[in-house]
Amino acid sequence: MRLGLDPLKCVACGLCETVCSLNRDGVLGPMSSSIILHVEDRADYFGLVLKTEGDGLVVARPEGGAEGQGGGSTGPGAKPILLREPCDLCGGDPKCAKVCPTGCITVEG
Amino acid sequence: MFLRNGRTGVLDLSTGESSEHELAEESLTAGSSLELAESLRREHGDAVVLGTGLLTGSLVPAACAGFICSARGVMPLLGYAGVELKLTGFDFIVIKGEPPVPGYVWARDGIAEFVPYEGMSSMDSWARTERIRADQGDRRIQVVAAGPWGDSLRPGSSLAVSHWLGEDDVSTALEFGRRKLLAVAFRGMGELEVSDPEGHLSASLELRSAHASRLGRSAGLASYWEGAGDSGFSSLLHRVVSCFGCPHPCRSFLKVNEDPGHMALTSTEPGYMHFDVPSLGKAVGAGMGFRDATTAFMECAKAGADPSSVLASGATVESVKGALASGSAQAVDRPSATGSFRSLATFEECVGLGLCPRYWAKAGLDIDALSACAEPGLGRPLR
Repeated sequence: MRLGLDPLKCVACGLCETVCSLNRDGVLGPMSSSIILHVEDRADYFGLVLKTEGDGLVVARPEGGAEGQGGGSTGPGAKPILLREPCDLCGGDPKCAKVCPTGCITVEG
Repeated sequence: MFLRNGRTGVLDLSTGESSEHELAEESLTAGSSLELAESLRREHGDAVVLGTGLLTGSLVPAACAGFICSARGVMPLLGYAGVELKLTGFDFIVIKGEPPVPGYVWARDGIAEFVPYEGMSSMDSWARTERIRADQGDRRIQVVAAGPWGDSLRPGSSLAVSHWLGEDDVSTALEFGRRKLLAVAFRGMGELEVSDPEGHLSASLELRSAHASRLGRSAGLASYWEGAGDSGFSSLLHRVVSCFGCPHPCRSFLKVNEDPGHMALTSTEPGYMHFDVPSLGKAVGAGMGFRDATTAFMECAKAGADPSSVLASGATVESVKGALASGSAQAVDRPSATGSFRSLATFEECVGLGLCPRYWAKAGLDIDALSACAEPGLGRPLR
């Protein structure tokens, strides 16, 4: 099982970040989530970065998906995603896919 | 204390001193957050109070709203501003006094401070936003910025919330201007405790599902304003954008300085985020096309001037630029304008709870259903 990301369907609601932290720590707040929204609001540019166990960082850019290191930093004020725990697929029931309102995040395999 | 911080920050601009005050749980839950903010505003001598609702940042659909309460009334903070404000660790931030030099307020991690920055006075609202993000090192900082119009106390002044206009129906920018307050910036790196995480998630998904048939197809601003169904609008549409936690977004970004279908990050100012229905309705009603309206709104946003007011000088890009240069505008009555947030019947109830008034006007504000959704998060009934 893995998560599929289609960044063009994303509307930047941030629910994926929020439920990831909720599942991991039982709190609301995106700082411990394994998935983060990368936003450049003035240019209306946004996509997702997911830290996985097997594939490292999966960077879902709107101009075309790319996997591997890079991107996704929200600056030194935020906890960099490389320091966070990788996605554990919520033990087999990924909450981010469940809460995503647009089908941007899906469960594959 | 679930879904709240239980703290108010008080910042005195005249001395630069800040203090924190615990909030009793009863005071947070007994009434609307707007009532509590108004009482803080009066207690601190006509202060400006930034606040959030009981449900802001929760998984209740569209729980994105915060607000600014001032002598001019209540301005909602939507997008990501409400949730980022709540995650700073404060439920309310009280700003009082007047500083010796202009500057901005910077809040994060339970700290609220005034940053003197005289040189920022010459910047427009977009430049202020970018400067603060660069100086504080985080692209997701939310910046509520006045522009040159608010600084000069001009009629029709409006605050931009992380670049865009549309929320400041009451010219809160004038309250910033008279305090030499150029902007308020905040970043939420905290967290909110939840009584029953699984129960709150399940109840939220259930409520969202119940709303689906009432909301219809999700099409950005066109879901809420029929004018955005026009082909002139859709031909410029880049992407539809949501506020925090909203499954039925009302924000549509139009690109005018590059191909709307271009997805890579190349231009820094490709267009404008439209959700300001009163201004867009006025522009179109006066014969302005969506391309010109988008260009004109970009200029208004930088100046911190309400497009509805500036358009009184003429509905062309040139006339808008001319009005912005000369400083002439006629303030219009935005709160009662069709499509304004304030004109919605449940505006105060929604904002006081931390909910988007536009989403909930369409979905239908059913307090019993809302309470069933919120209760697992709060660990008690909503009321």
